[in-house]
Parts: sequence; structure tokens; C-alpha cells
Amino acid sequence: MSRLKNIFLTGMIFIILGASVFLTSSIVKGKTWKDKGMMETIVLPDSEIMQRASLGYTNLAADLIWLRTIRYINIHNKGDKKYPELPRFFKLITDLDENFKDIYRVGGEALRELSKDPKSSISLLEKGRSIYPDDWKIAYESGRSYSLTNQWELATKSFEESLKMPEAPEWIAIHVAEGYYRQRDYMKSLYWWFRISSTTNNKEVAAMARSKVLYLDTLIPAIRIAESCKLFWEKYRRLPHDPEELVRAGFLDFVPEEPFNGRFVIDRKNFTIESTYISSLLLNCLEELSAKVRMYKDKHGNYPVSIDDLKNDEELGLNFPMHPYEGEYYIDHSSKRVMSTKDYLARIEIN
Amino acid sequence: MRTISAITISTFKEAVRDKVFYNLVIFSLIVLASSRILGLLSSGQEIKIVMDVGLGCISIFGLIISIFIGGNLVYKEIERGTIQTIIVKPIDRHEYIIGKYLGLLLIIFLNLIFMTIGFYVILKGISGTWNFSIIQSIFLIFVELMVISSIAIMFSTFLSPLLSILLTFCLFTMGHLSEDFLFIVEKMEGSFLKFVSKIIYYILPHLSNFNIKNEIVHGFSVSGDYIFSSSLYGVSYSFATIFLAIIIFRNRNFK
Repeated sequence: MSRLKNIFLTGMIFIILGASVFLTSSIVKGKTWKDKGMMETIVLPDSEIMQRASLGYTNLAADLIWLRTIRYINIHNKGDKKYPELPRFFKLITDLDENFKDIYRVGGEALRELSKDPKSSISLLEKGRSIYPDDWKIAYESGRSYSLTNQWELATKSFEESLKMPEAPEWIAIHVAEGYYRQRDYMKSLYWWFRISSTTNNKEVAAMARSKVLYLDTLIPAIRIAESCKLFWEKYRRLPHDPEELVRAGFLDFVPEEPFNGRFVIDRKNFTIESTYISSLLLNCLEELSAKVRMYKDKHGNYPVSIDDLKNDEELGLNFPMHPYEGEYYIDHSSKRVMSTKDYLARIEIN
Repeated sequence: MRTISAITISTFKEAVRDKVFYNLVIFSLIVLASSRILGLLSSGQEIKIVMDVGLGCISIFGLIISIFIGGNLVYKEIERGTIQTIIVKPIDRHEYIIGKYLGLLLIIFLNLIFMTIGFYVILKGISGTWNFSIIQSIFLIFVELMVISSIAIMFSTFLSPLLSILLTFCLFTMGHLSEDFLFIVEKMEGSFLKFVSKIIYYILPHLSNFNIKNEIVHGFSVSGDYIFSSSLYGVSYSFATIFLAIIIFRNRNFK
């Protein structure tokens, strides 16, 4: 009798367990991604409480939160692609286990790219940098997040520091050079591009660096002319006809040389400084690209919607010319020709 | 000495015969193996997660064995009445307590050996290397379990198993929060209250001293001096607690 009772009780336990598993799975299946996302965050405690409640198992707690973070990202990736709780997840993980090195890099990238929250990304990465001051990956990601918020000074500093760290790849120098360019520190940008062009083994990078060096070599004297033009304007309330007039008026010691054997031209109507060589180069590029637009039409039966369609075409995208004035190309849909957003070297800023 | 070893062996044999012990060991090995699955889900953090779960598992299951077996050890004999048959023999009461304690430590040690082997097999399979620094962390987990076991046995000499388990767990919790307790004490007003609280702080076991899991998992080195001083603290605390248990047990009347 007792044996029968035991068998009956064991059977009952199994039936109850089976039923609860079945019910739970049907509830979870019935939930939408939104409900599942809510379930993930509803019991996400404060890090201080969690640190104490984990009773020395803080690493383990951080790992479990990390697994929940992955699940949270997956759920929202299939749904609304919004990740509002992601900063909380990463803060909690790094508060629990501040030595969880990869989380700083992965988290910084996820907050920047997925959450579109560069501020939280910077905060996480700066925390990581204070703990791992010699990790180039964290410093590099930090630079990327700063650049997304247009804090180019901090971005360049982060890239430069990252480059000095052990095992840092040489291509970070490109970000340093670009950072100085964005800060309008053209001399330093020129120095970095020159350094890249003379040290890199990558042919494509070397070609890009050389073109940047030539561009900056032209831009720097053009800026000097533009600044002198501004002083000339303040004195005479008009712009000079040519750079030689600036020398005659004492605003320049000599007319700077145009490195392509062209010459600098002052566009008095548009208040810009141009290079005759680069202007003709730009015209050639626009002609070449407009021809590619027509070839695209012949090939695909319709005109490209954007310049990226041309770039991404296997055949026409080959040897795609770089913009000589660091501007952008775009397709003018009425004329079906490629145009440029910028056709000058420097602007004469007159307040 | 012979009496102590006889009690130690009989305690060990009794626990080994107990199905609960086997269940705990098998279950802990299953959980340890499942860390591999957790690691696979962790997006590039496999080794770290396996190490965290492994060390966590070794510590948690050791803790369960210490608290549950330790909390039952002496009281079970009192409840069954078998204690009377033991104390009428030429066995001193302190030998009985020490024997029981060493028997429990032997059980914990055996469990740690099984789990450490399982842990190393899994870790070697993933990382392909032998990480011997983990032994330092497992050693300090053992010292921590020595402290917990001594507390469990001390409570077991005069409290029911349920109360022993609860109080040992409370001390374990407070032992891990002792630094926060000190912080609160420093902010207290009133010198007498502060004095009493400070005494409580010093009486509490400072279990965070034995926690070097974080350092080991992240590959930081832990000095031999630190391990030695922590071990010395743990052994001294255990001796003091067992001494207290002997005093309580000596003063108990079983007639």
C-alpha cells in the first residue's frame, strides 16, 4: 500500500511539473517581443543593491546580467530595434565586475551603434579607460564615440593615445589625421597624413594619404590667402583682384605656391579661394562620373538614385575618383549629371 | 588522537553513505558542465563565464554541504539519543566535536576534489591550457568553508538543525557584508553603541578575505602573503569557533 502511495505521489509530482512547464512555455510563446523585453528589465536592480546581494559572487552576477543583455538585444533586434535599457545593463555589469574588459569595448560600440546613445557610450568607455589605461581598443572606441558627437578634440586625443598603446594597429593614425582635419588643425593633419603615406605598407592607404597630403598642401596656403583677404576687406571694404594685390598691400610677404603648378584664384563673387589645377581636376571628375551615370542607365535601364548606386556597381564602382575638394558628389536628377557640394579650397569668412 | 580520527572517519563514512551527499556532488557536477552551455551563449566570453560559474559552483555547493551537513551533525545524534551511547564511552567531549568537525572537513575536501577535477576537465577542453592559479582561489574557498563549517557545528551543539542552518546562513551573509557594517559603524553616533558595534564587527567572520575569484578569473596575481594571512585568519577563526562549540557542548546535560 505504501509502495503504491509512493508511486502515486511521484506520478503526481511529474504531472504537476509537466503541466507547469507546458503552461509556462505557452505563456512565453504567446508574448510579443515587447512583453519579453519588459520581462527582461522589470527586475533589473540597482547596482549597489546587486553588489551587496550577490554576497561575493559579483562576477557570476555580472555574467548572468551579460547573458540577459544578449537576450535583450536579440529580442529588440527582432522587434523595434530600440534599446532604451541598454545603458542600465552595461552600467550594472561593469559595476558588478569592473574588470570585465571586453564589456567596455562591446558595450561602447553597442550603445553607440544600436542605442544611438553616444553619451552613454562615452561614459562607459571612459570608465573602461580609467581601469584599463593601456587598452588600445577601449581608447579607440572612445575616440569613435567622441567623433559621433563632434567632440573632435577629445576624439583626436583618444585616437592619438590609442595609437601609442601596445599592439595598436597603424590604421588608427588615419583617425588621428582625420580628427586634426575636423578640428581645422591642418598642419597637424598634414603631418599625420604625411607620416601615414611614408610608413604604411598598404597601397590603397598610401594612395589615399598621398592625395590628402597634396590636398592639405594646397589648402594650407589657400587658408593663408583667405585670412589675408579678410584683413584686406577690413581695410578697403572690398576683396583683392588676385593674391599679388595682397603682397602689394603688405598683407602677404609673397604669393604662396600652388603645389600642382597651378595658381590660386580669388573668387570675389563667392568669397572663396580656388586652385586652378584642382578646379580643372574636379571638372574632369564630374565629367567622368556623369559618363558613368549614362553607362549605368545603359546597363540597368534606369538612372542611379544616389551616388552610392554608382559606387556599389561592380564594374562602374572601380577606380571611383576621390573628391579633390573633400566635398561630396551627388546626382542632379533633372540634368542627370553628377554635381559637387564643394568646389573651393577655402572660404573667406567675413563677419 | 586515535579517538578523534575514529570519529572523523565514522562521520565521513556516515555522510558518504547518505544519499544527499551523492545527490549534491552529482548535481554540482551537472551544473558545472552546464557552464559550458552558458559560455557558448555568452558571445565571446566563454572562458570567463566558465571560470566564474565553475568557481561559483565549487563555492556554493561547498557552502550547501557545510551548512546543511554541519547544521545536522551534532543535533542529529542528540535527537536520536545516540549521543548518550557515545559520551558514556571513554571519549572526551572535545574529541567528539573535533572529530565531527574534521569529518565534515574531509567530506568538503572530497567534494572540492571532485568538482575541481570536473572544472579543470571543462576548462582544459575550452582553453586548451592548465590554469594553475585557480588552485589559489579553490584553496581559499576551502578555508572559507572551514570557517562556515565550524560555525554550523557550533550552532548544531545547542540548536535545532533548522535554526542552525538559518543562523549559519545569516552569519555567512553578514560575513560578506562586514565591510559595509564597518562603514555604518563609522557613521554611528554615541560612543557606547559605536564600541559595541565595533566589537560585533570584529566578531563577525570577514569572509570577503577569502574571495579572490575576481582576481583569478581576470588573471591578476595574488601575493603569497595575502593567501597566507587570509588562511591564518580562517584557521584561527575556525579554531576559536570550535573552541566555543566545545565549551557549549561540555556544559550540556544529556540526561
